[in-house]
Amino acid sequence: MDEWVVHQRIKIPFMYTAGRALTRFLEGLARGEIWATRCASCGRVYLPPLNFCGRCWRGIDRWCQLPPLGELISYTIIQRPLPEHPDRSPLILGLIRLDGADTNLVHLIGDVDPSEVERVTRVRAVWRDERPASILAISHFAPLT
Amino acid sequence: MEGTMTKVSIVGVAQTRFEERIASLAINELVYMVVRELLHKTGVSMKEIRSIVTASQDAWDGRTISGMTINEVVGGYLNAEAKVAADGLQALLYGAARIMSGEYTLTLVVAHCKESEGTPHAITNLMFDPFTQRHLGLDDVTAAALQARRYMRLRGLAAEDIAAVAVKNHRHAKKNPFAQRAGDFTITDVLNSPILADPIHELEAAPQSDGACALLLASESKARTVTDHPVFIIGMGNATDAYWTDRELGEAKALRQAASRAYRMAGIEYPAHEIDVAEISARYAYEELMAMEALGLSEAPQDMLARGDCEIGGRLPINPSGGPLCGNPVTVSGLVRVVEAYLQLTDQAGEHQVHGAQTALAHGAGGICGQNQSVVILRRE
Repeated sequence: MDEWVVHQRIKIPFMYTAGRALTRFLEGLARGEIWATRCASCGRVYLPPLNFCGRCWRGIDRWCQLPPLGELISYTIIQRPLPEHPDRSPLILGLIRLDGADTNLVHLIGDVDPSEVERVTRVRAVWRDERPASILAISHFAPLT
Repeated sequence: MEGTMTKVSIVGVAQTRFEERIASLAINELVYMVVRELLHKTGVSMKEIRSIVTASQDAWDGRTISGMTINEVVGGYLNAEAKVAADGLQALLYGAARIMSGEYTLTLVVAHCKESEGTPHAITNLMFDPFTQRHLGLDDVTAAALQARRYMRLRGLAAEDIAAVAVKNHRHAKKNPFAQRAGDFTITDVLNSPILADPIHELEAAPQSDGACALLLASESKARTVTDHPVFIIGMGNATDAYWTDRELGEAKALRQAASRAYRMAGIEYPAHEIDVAEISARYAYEELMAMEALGLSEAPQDMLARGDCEIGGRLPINPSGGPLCGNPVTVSGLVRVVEAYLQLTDQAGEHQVHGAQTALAHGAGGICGQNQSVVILRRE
């Protein structure tokens, strides 16, 4: 017996509200600046910023600007083409701890051969010339040389 | 579970074979099959069951309120049916609470997923923060790869240490008739399998999997009327960690919490000595080592594994079924660990039986890089 299937494509337009903290963060990115928040109680620096600290369970209203520099604490090399980056293969994704932050940022790692990335410890943000109010205002992070 | 709370027991289990694609059965048919088998085995009729908790996920089922797909086949009609959109072990915790309340003497717990029907990259990409992460192309395996490398760096683990987990589990799986992937692979075979997201190789990741499982919970007095060999839930614990980019990815803090809660409830002080067999929800090989540490089963799990202590017949067999690497539908993952633990404690595990097992641990995890963790301790009489 032939197996029957019904093919469908689910496509749901969606509009995510950025909220107060992320709006300030995204606007900063458009200016080439990275803004984080700091919990007044435990001192934890959140990047991307949150306006509350789940650990202390209290609001946060302190902002601090961080340098576009940090430590590459982990990475992965992806050989398969991803629908989000059809023209970039292989692709390196990194987990980055910006100097002064207590949380990690994920971003593309570039300007380095995949076989060399294991040696990279410090990275810097490479900004786009035309910066949208988005994490993609940063094109990628590159080794700090 | 001292005092006035009703003791919770498991009186029967059923599981389908896990397959890359079960093409002949729709989701409701698959679940009907496993529930029917469970009732047949226990001799309990659907008319007696008034409480049902299921686990499934809308995005994987391709429909909002995925529980509607299976409401009829789990006996949900005009009964107390509820769904958790999380790992199946969460459904068990919910079901156990219903028995403990004294309101229900029986609760059916069911989990299903047909991963073959959707698009794993697109579905797991939806887990990620839409503002700063999703458009980077993250999915379940790429986030796991970032965690794997971080954990390996913190502990100084080599690729071979991780591959050894896959070797052991696939060998165990040869003895499990429900396993989807099994074999006598060497460490070299594992490291030569295709890289999904460096450092994770294909044989170090759970395969695409379709399947379902079910179990029946009962109060102690009801259990005595159903079976001569009830298995009791003596400890339960769960904990949720911070978002994956807001924590030290190389540590499984939430699992430590969940385990300490379950051990306290069970009166277990030295888990490495008091647990006879553990079924761990390691969808990726490195997660098994992380979990063994966080569960307090070993401080140097890679050495314990290398000594052969985690084999069937070893000091503390881990995943004698082969675990998730050998077949692992999302959401079924944690619940089928309990199913396997039950089989061990009732001497029904067949070729992968751990002889003399009295106390078993079952672990479940969900979310990005194991954000949510659950632990259940089971004991035979």
